[in-house]
Amino acid sequence: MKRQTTAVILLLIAVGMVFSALTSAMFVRRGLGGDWIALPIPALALWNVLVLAASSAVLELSRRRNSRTLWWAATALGMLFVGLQLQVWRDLSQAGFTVSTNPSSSFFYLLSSLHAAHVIGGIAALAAAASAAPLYWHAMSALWAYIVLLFRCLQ
Amino acid sequence: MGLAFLVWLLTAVILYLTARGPWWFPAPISQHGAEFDKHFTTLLWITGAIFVAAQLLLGYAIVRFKSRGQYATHSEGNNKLELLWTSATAILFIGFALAANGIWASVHLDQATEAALKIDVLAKQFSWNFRYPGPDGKLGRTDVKFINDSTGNPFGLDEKDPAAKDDVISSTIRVPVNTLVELNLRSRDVIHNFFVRELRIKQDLVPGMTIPLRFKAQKEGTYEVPCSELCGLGHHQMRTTLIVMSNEDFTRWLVDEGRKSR
Amino acid sequence: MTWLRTHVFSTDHKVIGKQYISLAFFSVALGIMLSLIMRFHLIRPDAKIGWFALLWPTGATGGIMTPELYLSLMTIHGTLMVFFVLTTAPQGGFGNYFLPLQIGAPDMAFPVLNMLSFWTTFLALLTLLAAFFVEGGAPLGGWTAYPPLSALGQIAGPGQGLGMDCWIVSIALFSIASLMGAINFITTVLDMRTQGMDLMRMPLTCWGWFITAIISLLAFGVLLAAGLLLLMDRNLGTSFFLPAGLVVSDQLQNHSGGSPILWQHLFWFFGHPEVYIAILPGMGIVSTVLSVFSRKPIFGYKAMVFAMFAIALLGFLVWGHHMFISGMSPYSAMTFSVLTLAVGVPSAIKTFNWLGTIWGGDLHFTPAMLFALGFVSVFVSGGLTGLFLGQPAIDLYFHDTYFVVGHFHMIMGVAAIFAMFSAMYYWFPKMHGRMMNAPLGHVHFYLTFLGVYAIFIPMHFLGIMGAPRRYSDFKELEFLADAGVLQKFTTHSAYFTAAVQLIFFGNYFYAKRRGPAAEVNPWRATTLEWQPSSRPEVHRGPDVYSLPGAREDFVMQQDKK
Ligand code: HEM
Ligand SMILES: [Cu+2]
Ligand SMILES: [Cu+2]
Repeated sequence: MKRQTTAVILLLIAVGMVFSALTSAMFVRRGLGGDWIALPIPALALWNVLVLAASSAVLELSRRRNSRTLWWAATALGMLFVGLQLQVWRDLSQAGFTVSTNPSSSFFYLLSSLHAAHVIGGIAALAAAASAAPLYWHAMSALWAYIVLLFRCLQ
Repeated sequence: MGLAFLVWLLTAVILYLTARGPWWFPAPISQHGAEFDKHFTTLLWITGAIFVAAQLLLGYAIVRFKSRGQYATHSEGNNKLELLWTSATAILFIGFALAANGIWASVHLDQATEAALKIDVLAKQFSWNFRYPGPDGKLGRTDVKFINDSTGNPFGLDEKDPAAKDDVISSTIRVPVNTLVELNLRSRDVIHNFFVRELRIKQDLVPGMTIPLRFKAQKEGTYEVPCSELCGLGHHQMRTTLIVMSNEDFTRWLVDEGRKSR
Repeated sequence: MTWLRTHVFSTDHKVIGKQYISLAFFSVALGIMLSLIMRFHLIRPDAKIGWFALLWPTGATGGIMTPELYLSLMTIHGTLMVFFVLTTAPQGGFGNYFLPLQIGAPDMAFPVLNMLSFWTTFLALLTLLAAFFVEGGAPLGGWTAYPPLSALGQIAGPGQGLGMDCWIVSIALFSIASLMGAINFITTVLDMRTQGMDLMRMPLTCWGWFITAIISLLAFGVLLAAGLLLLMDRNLGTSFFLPAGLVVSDQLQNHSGGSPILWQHLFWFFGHPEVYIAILPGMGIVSTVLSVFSRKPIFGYKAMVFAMFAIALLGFLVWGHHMFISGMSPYSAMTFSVLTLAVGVPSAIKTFNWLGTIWGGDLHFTPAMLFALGFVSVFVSGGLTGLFLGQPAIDLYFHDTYFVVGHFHMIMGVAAIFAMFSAMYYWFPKMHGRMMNAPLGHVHFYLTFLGVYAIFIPMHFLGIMGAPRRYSDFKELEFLADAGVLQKFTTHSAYFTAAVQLIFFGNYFYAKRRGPAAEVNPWRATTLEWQPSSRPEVHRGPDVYSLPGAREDFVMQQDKK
């Protein structure tokens, strides 16, 4: 339905504002002083870009082929992503980076958990088979790629 | 109808209080202060004229077009008129902004190159500390580690540094008249604000930053400095005084204090 | 069960609109009471009042108010007024009720989301008020919550512990609720208009709600982000806003490298647009009311729409004018100054066009009309002082003085509240099917109009004398020794004006139950909410009054000829 699509686009704008605010805060914070340490992003976080991208691709396929099975497969991949994110955080804290270690890790934990919360919302929307869910889901895939790219660039 | 008279009455009262009321700025004590007042007065005249014109027109329309069973004129606007007043206000308002920039620049940009008497300012909840280099002309090294109010070391002077020995620390600020002064404003806990009404300047002290502020006071006297940025429950008590002294008095005071602190 | 469904957890936009208005009523009443206590304290700081001690056992031990209690009241007053009154009533209240009716939609686009956003707002209000009851009491940092004061915890002041956390959580919830509302409003305008209701045929009220929703959509996310960062600084040991080497109460803090200014940028990027969120719906209402009771089309409808868009756009580029004195680069101050005065231009256009609308009209002074005219008066008075504050050279003196307090109460507080009164008198017949008493409405207006000028004009003079804001008393300042009379006058004007509002509340609650029945279209207005059938087709713009040759002096939007 048209309404749903409009709403999802608006929702994405709002989410985009939250993440842009945090991104610009991050750039400002990084430029402030010498205390910024480049964060060694766990490799798993990179793989996770692929997991979400795959989930998006499967979802798109499901939409084209009108296949319920593929839709559920995409949802399952989303859940896998959340599970793997937990492992990412574990890896990171084992490497000595907790929330308060350095502004870089503070921002990483904040951005990734905020993103994860949005992904969980997306999983709920997929489970409810909402018609505009794929649009939102693709944006979440892109958002994770963006976050990882951001931290890679800041190294 | 009643509304028109009320609007006019209020306008008249506001005009009267502005022109004649006892509640006004203190006299300025610096060139910048005088310029500020001049600009303010110009602005007041222009905005005052707009204020009066708008309220008069509003009142007039209320009286003139009160319903007496007339048929309203059917008009959806007037593009020429709109273009006219839009461009007029645009020019006027932007003009204001540009006109004031000179005064702003004179505080924050122009004097930066001149030599000035440097005073280190460190604010905390809820008091002020000012530090002058002693007779050696050098400010001593400091470190937050050493900050201790009970032993009289609010700046955290490093005792090992010989230059720190004669630093003069004061809870009021004294400056010589007709001398360019540069404050280095810092805060050690929350944001505070240094405000001297007679100088027409105001500047936040932001933790983590050192903010320079320059002024030249041209009249001897004692002036109040009220903290003007909310800093906690004692904000209203965070007050000090600026004492503008003759050059001789100032030098004598500095030497005396320097001797005492050693 | 059904009672709960229809009256409490209803998804009907009309019920939700009324719920928002009730929430705003409660908040404004509480906010005004707090302000009266503050005003009382300012003239009698040493007074011993028994029931203060009952209400605030620690903040007013023995009945004497502490400075921290004053500051807590101030913080909650400001927060209630800005968020829970001026962001809820105009948009969530009247917008919810009338947007669907005016564009001929059956309801908002997402009724359940609508209900959720109300209840989230409600939860936010509870969370805010909870701050009074937690250890240390409500926060004392003002509605702007500047760090480090807001980030350090209880060591920085009694209310800065749990109370401050309550404030942040409340504001975060409020932001989420506002975002849900914004999505709903924009979708409704874009996708739910009835046939023939082109965008340029919408009443200006709808434009006000629409553009306000767009601003909310872009602004509240930034506040939410800032709130999260602040929460982390407070509770997780991060250093976004806290620099190294802070010594608070002689204790060295363990933070490094953050910047208090970062918060100010994020906060005001939201904060300045927020004042337009408060006023734009009011501008729409005033435009409509002036046109109805002048029996004239809006002067320059297109210019009015354009001006609202210009205000929204420029509103996002001027946040730095709150930070002229914070140590920002002098060059950016100059840029922000030019942009700030530029935002005055569309505001001036609106004022001219309001005057143009009544000019040559056939003016009927109903209470709604009086409040709309009063709005124009205070909008001019409050707007002109903004021209002073928008210049860094002048702000060098006025920043954080009572001049600012006077300015924003006029332009944001009083103007927006006047628009709300106007809306209430105007739409009461539609909302409750009855008429409010007009003579009482007149009395209410005249006394209020006088009262607000009497409260807030003296504050400008205090500011000219240099009185800093957020002072719990002025005894220490010698230069204000002569200002006692201004303070007393302001306080008594506040008592007076607050008392006058009882006339309104009495009129409102009486009329709601016993008022004479209203006709379908009592004001002979043209917009869709005043016609009986649902979802008609629309044939013309919203303001066709006094058309030469027409049968009556108004032609409704759905009328064919
Ligand atoms: C009877 C009406 C009102 C009175 C007597 C009143 C009085 C006051 C007083 C005494 C202060 C504290 C000033 C200070 O200590 O610095 C204040 C602050 C404030 N008021 Fe009001 N007020 C009224 C209505 C409103 C309204 C309608 C608004 C809506 C915008 C409002 C918004 C604020 C805000 C935002 C602050 C600033 C709080 C802060 O500094 O953080 N007030 N008001
Ligand atoms: Cu202070
Ligand atoms: Cu602003």
